[in-house]
Amino acid sequence: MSTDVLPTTRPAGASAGKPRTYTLRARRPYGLWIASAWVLLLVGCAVAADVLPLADPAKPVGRARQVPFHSLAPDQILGTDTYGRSVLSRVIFGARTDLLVTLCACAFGAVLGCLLGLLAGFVKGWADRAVSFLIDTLLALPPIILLIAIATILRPSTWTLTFGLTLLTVPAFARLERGAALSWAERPFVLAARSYGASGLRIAFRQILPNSLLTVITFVPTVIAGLIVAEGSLGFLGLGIPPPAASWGTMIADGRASLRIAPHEVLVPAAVVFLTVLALNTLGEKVRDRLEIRSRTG
Amino acid sequence: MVSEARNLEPASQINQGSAGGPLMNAIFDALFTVDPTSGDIQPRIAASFATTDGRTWTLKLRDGVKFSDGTALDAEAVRFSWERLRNGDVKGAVASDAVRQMDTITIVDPLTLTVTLKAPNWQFKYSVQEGATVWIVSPTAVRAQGADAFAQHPVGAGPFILKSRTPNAQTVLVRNPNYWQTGLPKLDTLILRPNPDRDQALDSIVTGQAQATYDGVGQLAQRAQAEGLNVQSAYGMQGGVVFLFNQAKAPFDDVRVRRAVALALNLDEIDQQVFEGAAEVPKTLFSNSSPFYDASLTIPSNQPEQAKALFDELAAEGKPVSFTISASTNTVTSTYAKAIQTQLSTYGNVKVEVLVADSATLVRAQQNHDFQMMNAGYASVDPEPALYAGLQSTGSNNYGSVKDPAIDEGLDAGRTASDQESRRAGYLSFQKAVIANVPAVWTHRLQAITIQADTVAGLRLYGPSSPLFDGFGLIE
Repeated sequence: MSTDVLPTTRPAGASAGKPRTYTLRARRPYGLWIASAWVLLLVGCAVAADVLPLADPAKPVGRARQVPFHSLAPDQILGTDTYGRSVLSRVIFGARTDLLVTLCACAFGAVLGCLLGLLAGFVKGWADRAVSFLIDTLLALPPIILLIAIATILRPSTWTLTFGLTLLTVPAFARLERGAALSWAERPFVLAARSYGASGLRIAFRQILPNSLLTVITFVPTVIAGLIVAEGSLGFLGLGIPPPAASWGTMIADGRASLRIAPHEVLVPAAVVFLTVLALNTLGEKVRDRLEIRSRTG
Repeated sequence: MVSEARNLEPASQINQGSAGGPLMNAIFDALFTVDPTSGDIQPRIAASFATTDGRTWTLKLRDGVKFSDGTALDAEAVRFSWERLRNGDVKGAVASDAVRQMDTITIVDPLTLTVTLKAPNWQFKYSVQEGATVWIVSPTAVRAQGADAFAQHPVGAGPFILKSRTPNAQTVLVRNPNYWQTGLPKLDTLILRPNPDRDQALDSIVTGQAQATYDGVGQLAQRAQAEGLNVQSAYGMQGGVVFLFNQAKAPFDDVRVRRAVALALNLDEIDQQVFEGAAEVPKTLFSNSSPFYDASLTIPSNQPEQAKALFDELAAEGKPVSFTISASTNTVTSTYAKAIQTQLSTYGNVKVEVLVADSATLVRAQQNHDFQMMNAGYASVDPEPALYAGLQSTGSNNYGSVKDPAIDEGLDAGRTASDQESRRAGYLSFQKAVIANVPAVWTHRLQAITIQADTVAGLRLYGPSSPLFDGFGLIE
């Protein structure tokens, strides 16, 4: 941690003597640490869910709607749901489902969006007009309506959901990459590469794309946070991951009917969604800050 | 009300409180209702509906009843309404058990009409009451507007006239000044709002945004009583709500699979999970208030050892059980389907998927017999017509493709019997056949329950919880 000591002028009227000094300490990034710890915990649990001593998330472990901490047994520490299934187990297996779906959607969307954005920003002309039209069209569709339509036309499944969420992310990544490509394409080193006779493909993939990726990467946590909320909304509408697979959205939907008598069924997954989205947004913001500072100073 | 009619065309409606019943009764009234206890006709637009041989039924109308367009509701109007149901003149019309039974319709005089059936049915009054046949349309209005426009601007002889309608939000109806019952309806304006969420419907009464609702299960009634509202359970129904097996498709073309699934389920536990224990889980097909009740004829359920043995036997033959339950996005149905899935997950050799789909998809799947297991309703005050339509091999609602001669024989005997003893004998053999065939899992029985704020009274239900609003009004 750096500590800067700034000399100051003596205020008018202050007594002469040893000059006062003011110390500015850079704040410790507690937010970043907590957010990182939460995301790491979640990812760790999701990856290790099969080897953790957890009950099968699809099978009942006890009586229905047991409140959290009525028993300290790992299966029942967060209570049971309407069907007597372990809430803890479903939250952790739900984390696996949610993270898998949103990471896949984000990855597919980023690849597709970046390619389209690169095409638009580098080739310009007809390509820019075509890609911009496509992006505008996708953005004009209300996201939740688009997802409902996809889930209705195609049979709801993990892949249907991933496909729908991918479609949501493509315009954002494409627009981001397009802007970055337009900016990087005018830099001197790109002009220099052109003057040396580098092909357009080489310039696009060796010069522009690697440089613009930084902007895209800072955007990823925010996108994943948004996708988790979208998955939750679809699950809440009954069009998410098919039962008995656990996801946070379907857990909230399943608990809705029991909200009056067993609020923990909704509150536990809702709290996990809240903390995860908050952590990812915090992470995205901090990473963006750091990378922007580096790109300015570097 | 629970849900809303797709349009205001009576031919397209199911006469239930949870479907088209409320709007249709408000606009068209009902020809008659049947007393759920005595089975006697309760006259409304019709003064009487009777038979002497079970085959020819005579309908006598009240004199002076007029549609809201001023034209007379006479025998010709009844014939016109029934013929358009029978001829399929209306797109999207619901199959009517009553018109399928009709052979000829003859006008005797302006207020009398006879209908001759293809086969005797001493219980035909129930078929007329529980279908669109109970609502009579104005022939003048239908001819003038055409069927499509009529579905948006219906003309009937009910206590109210349509003023405005916002689909899935509210329908505003105003008093019909020419209503045939002097001094009725009591209200100048009736607003019907669909609300598929039971708790929200009750909350709207507690907060004064609505004054009445009705329920079929009893879960809401418990809360309503705790809130100090006026709760009345008018009558119970026979049969019940089911999860139906499709016998035209594997694996449910094998009776052992149907039996194994039925035996595997603990429906009382599911009742706790879905209805907080408020529903009546049928142990027998008919409740103990029915003349056809027999305590020894219990429906297969909750025998886990026998179920396990059957699942193992099927797996040993290379036929492990795997099927999909089609469920609507409705909370109760999807929760029930997931509860079945969760209970069956504790058995080996069984794999269950739950497919949640929108209502239109499910109706299509039901009518095309393109499902393995799905929710259906076989509840009515009498075995007729719901059980006949649903389980007889030629029944209008035989979505599960049930083709069992013993069931057919029992239902036919119950329908054609002229005396109660013969009828009882028919339905006893029907119950035995149903227990052997296992066409469905009988999840819960329905009741007709009204819930009203302390400022109103007079909401009455008939048949499958279909509400009548003419006597509904503010307490003075």
